Amino acid sequence: MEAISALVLDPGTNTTRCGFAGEDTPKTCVPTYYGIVPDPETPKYFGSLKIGENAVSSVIDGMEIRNPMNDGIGTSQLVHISWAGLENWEVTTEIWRHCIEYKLSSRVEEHPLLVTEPIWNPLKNRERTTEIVFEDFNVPAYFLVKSAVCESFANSKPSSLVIDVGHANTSVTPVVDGIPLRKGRIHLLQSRVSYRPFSHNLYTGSERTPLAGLHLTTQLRHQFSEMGIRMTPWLMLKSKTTYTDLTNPPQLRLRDYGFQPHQSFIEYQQDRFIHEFKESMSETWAEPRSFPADINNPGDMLRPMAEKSYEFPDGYQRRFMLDRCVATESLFNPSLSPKPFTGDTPKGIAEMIKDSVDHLDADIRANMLSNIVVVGATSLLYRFNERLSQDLVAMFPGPRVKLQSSGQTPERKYSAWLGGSILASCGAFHQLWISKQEYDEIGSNIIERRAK
Amino acid sequence: MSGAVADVRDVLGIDATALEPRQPPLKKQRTVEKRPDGITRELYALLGENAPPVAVVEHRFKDKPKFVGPVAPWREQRFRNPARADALELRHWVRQNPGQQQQQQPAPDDAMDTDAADAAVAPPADPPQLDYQFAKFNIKMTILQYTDAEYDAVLRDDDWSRAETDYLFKLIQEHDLRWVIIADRYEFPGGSKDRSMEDMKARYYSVCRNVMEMRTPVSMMSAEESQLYHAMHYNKEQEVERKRIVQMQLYRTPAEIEHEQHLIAELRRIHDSHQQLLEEREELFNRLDYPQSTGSIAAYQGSQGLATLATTIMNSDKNKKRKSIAAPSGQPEKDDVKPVATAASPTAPSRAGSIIEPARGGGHGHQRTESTASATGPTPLKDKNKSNIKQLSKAEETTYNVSHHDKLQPGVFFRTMKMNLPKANSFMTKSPAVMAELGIALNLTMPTAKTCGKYEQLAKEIAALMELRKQIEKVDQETRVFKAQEGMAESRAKRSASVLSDVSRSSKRPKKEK
Ligand SMILES: Nc1ncnc2c1ncn2[C@@H]1O[C@H](COP(=O)(O)OP(=O)(O)O)[C@@H](O)[C@H]1O
Ligand SMILES: [Mg+2]
Repeated sequence: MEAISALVLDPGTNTTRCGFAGEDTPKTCVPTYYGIVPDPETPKYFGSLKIGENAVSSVIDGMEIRNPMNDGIGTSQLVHISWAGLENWEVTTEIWRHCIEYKLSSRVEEHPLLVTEPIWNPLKNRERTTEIVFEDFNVPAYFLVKSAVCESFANSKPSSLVIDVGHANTSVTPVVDGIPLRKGRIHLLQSRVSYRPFSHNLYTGSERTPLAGLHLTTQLRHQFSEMGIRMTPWLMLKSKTTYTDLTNPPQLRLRDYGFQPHQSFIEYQQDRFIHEFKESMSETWAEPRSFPADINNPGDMLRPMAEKSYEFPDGYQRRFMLDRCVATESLFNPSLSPKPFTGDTPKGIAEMIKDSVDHLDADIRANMLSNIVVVGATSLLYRFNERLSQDLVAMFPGPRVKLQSSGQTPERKYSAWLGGSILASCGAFHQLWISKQEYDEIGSNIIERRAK
Repeated sequence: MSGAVADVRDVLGIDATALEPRQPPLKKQRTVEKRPDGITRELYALLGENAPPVAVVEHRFKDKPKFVGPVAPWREQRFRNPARADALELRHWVRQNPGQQQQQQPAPDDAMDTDAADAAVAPPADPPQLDYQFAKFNIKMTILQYTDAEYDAVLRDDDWSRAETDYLFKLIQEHDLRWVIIADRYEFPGGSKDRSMEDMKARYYSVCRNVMEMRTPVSMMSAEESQLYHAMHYNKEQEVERKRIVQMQLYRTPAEIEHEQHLIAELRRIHDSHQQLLEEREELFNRLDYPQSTGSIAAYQGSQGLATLATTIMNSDKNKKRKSIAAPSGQPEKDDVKPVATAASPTAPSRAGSIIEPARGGGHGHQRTESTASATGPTPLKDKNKSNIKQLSKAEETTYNVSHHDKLQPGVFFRTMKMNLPKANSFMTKSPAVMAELGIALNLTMPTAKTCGKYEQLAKEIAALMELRKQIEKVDQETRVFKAQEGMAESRAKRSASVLSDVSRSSKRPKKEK
């Protein structure tokens, strides 16, 4: 280990993580979602930005919640509303600056900076990132690493099949000797699934689908509204009375802010309790029998599903049984989604892995299958790995299929950051940094030459 | 207190220094040494001499480290990495030697610093450290380079243009011959062909071989070079086929896997029984193997030679006699064959013959050897004692039915009960049939010593015959198995071809679905 006090930044779609290289967890974890309040005084962003956990959750008149990224770092596709042009680059810059300067209280120009990027990050974005880092942040040295590589390293494997089940995307990336494979990469914008603004790309070597945390949130939200549950977030309620009868709900007692918060803000607040539901209630179906198509009439199950009770913010208490598995089942079996896809139905996670493996060289397939690394916070779903392993073994009965996944929650959540931290504190890595001098000589295209 | 003790000593006139090397502390120390961590002294005392059966490890914090000398300071130092092409200076923390401590006072001049931002924070202006311990890990493979002339002379290929070959070599250099990655990154601009990894490997190895051969003809190469040259031989078809089989192996269906496991178990079984068969056959051969005389008989042609031969025979006879007396009477064969084989003398045939010879004069089976010896060998001691009484001739002995015994079993018994018959199970079950075939009654009507002897001989021969038959059957069976295997190998080759096509069909199926 060789500490040069480098900073490691892992911009995820849900949160952006930042900390010092050589440590085992990021120092700070800031939502990638941000708020924007229309303000004629600050025309730069068409409003003033609200960045950070507290800012995003404060009730401000007219504040809209947005997310600057979906496809890689800062492309023009947004999660909640469409958002065009360059501004989201500016926002990304602001979020990064917020992490480093406000949360870490460090001067960004003093530290080499390592940033992680998804495998499908297009060249345009990579060059833009390079520009931001050298022009705006003025860092002495910088490097861009594929998050899949970091995740593989964080699980102490130079070669592995990395399955990252994150927030907006689930990706499958074969990594060989620390280099991600990308053969036959078809640009993601060419084929699209018209379910939200995501695109289902057709990488041959590495695969990704939107079947991840956000998809789960959407499915759960749909499931709740089908049940007729009022999804009023905590922030909007003054007090609650518990009840179990949906047909006759008590009057909601709402907090009076004097204005109606923006719809995107309410949705973001709903996401918070849906997230809690995911953590505490959701379960992945991992029985030998396939998931019953009709959950009200499941037939005889080998293991009766435990009943769990959940209280929604407005006080409604409900017992959940098999319906805890419905949304998660759609990760593996998208055709069973409560909210159907409007376009092509993407492939389930296990199928996606099979596709990826099918494109690998025959000699490394067995090795990859016995070195599957599962990361990303959505993989923390109860019994998720069990189910994945079960599906994969059914798909590949011959070779040995072995999933490796850290039992530690932070390691699973922050594995991309952790891998970056390992890399940037590794003595032999220091020859790879792109220096300011090199950037000045070659320009932003240096990234394509140096960090392939 | 200690003052009082000193006073007492003084009064008693005891020299304080004489008491200095006291024993008790030493003893205590010993017990402390033996006591394992985490056991209190009281508990340990209860244990006595015996060591505890389980190691008890107490969870506790590490002891505070004991520092010796002053704390070595660490300071942030700038360094350059010789593995880099540019002059990037990073800072890392280095441990300072105490001697260096003095010179690290911040100096105002900052001429070396290129980065303005750095200058603001980095007070020390000492020149950056130029060597870097991790630089040595920057290792690149040396990949063969060819010149234009070489390319024109031996490397032209209709399938590969010069530009594409250059591109391939650049990629190989960049990725250190990691073919999976090279094949993954291969994107030759303007290349119309879809290159597989095998295409690339074939091209690379053929280029290397051609260049090597051109530089040094094969006959002139050093051992090392020629080894490399031959290692570079790449058979593309074989590799493609191998990969196809690897792939097939990966996509077996559960039924196929089960079938395969079944076959493996079967194979193992056959293999095991084959092994057993071989062992049994070898044993049989050993048994059938007649000890061959290896020496020439020339030595025994003269009268002197004959005399020595006679003594050798006699001696070995004696040996044998002792042996067979010592050995349990039930199995004389095994004991006898061995010494004969080692002696490898011409006497062997007659001796081996004597094994199955029934006792001539002796009435009882177990004394047969003794009586044989008395007939051929020197007169036993016992006989010598009796010699003054009356020496009966052989003919007389038979007429008077006189027999000689070492020791008679006390009591009365049937001679047939003492008969020495083979004990094998198969003999018991099968001999009646053979006896019936030969027209011999199972029970002797007149069990004299002679008939009993003959009967024993017959029984032994029957047993040997049966054993032989069994072995012949076994060998027959084996030849049949081998023949069948040959046939099966052919049909399997056919069958596996059909399975292969089956598998490739089934592995294609999912692709169609996409
Ligand atoms: N314990 C958990 N169980 C289920 N889902 C979780 C859990 N913890 C976090 N998540 C979900 O994981 C997603 C965030 O995953 P993460 O790997 O951090 O994504 P990204 O790297 O894209 O920011 C969110 O949708 C969050 O709701
Ligand atoms: Mg992530």
